[in-house]
Amino acid sequence: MRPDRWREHVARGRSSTFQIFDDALQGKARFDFDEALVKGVVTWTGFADLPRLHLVAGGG
Amino acid sequence: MNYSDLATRLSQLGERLSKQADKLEGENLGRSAAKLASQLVRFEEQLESHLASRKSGELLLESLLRSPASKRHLTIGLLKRGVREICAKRLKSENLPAAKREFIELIRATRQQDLAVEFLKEAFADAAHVESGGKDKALLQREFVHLGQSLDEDFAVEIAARTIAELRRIATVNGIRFTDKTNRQRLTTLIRRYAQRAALNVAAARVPSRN
Amino acid sequence: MIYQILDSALGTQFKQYDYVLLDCPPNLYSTTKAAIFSADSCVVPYVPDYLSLSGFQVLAEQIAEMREKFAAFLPGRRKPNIGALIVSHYRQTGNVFRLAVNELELSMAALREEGVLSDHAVLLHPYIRHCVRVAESTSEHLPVILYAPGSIGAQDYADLTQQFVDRFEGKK
Repeated sequence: MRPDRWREHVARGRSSTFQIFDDALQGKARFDFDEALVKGVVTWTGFADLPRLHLVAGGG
Repeated sequence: MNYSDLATRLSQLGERLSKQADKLEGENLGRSAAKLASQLVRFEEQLESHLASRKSGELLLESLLRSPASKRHLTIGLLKRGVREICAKRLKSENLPAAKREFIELIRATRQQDLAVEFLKEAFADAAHVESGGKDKALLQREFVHLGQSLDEDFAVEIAARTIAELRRIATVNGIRFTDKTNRQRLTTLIRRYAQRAALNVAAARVPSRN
Repeated sequence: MIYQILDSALGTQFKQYDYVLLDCPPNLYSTTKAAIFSADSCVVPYVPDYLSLSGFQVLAEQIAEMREKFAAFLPGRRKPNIGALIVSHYRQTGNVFRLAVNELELSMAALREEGVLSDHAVLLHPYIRHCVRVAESTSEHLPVILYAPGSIGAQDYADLTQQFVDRFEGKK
């Protein structure tokens, strides 16, 4: 994922494994796997390659 | 944007265009539409070609021939063997780029892309496989640590009992470089120094187990 | 138990994948321990120097302790273990790197003898050689096999991946 999009994606601890741990500590259930999942690697064309590589970010 | 987003965008654009088609006018808009149409034709051709070659196995074959594994392990000999085994034909090219092209053509002509992919995958996997070094290596490594732990006098006795060939073997297995000109004394010094270091380092950072 | 957090959140998702790689930071805080709890095996990267060597030795001991601690929470499942090690930033010139890798192998043998490291833990080949393209690829936010597929780094990783698959799918 491109850095600018990645920063948006994980902003405020969302959509990352950080959120999983934060949810557990705070007794919440905000983490959504399908929303967090990034499919493929965005190349400089702007389109993804390696579509079978799925990523969940580690956090901000 | 990803391919899904692109599909959605094209779909939405298609719907809008369809509703407005009878009312659109103007040279600028026409020129823009012409450019888009021409790009769409090119993209459609590439997409069709991609899907067709994926279905036939050719895409995978070409990816494999361009892969890092191919760069390291692909040889003319391997391609010749492949053509012989898969198509019962003879590869004629004697340089690698030409041999690759000929390989692809022969495979394509006989529609054996799937077999060719399996052949190459197995060949690359075999080439990447490295033997572990076996029991001899493990024994020589233990001996190295033992030599490192020995007192000077014991070390001298142990070394004296070994031939230069044995010392070279101990040194080689344990990562010590030397040349044909390295004499016995120098080799002994190197073994002593690095064996002592290894014995110390392997023991030094151990956290005592909490039994 | 706190270490079950990751397993609870992602456990059902793991089933849809052939491989799930949990990339951990170089420490043993709770998040790393949670990953170790969830994993079938650990793969440990090793840079050929003494700091990595001592870090590996500490990690191996800690994972052995976790094996005992977590056993009750993992009935019928594989307990924390080190499955493989990978050498990176390797240079072929001089003695330094070969000796450092040898010390890793000696350390693995010593830990196996003490029952800290499993007999199944292997050192994978090839060693990933120092390659500028690998470093550059991180700045480009791309894996090296896309950024510089012809580089020695990409070649080494491709071969290492084959060894990894062979190891964890029980071949060779």
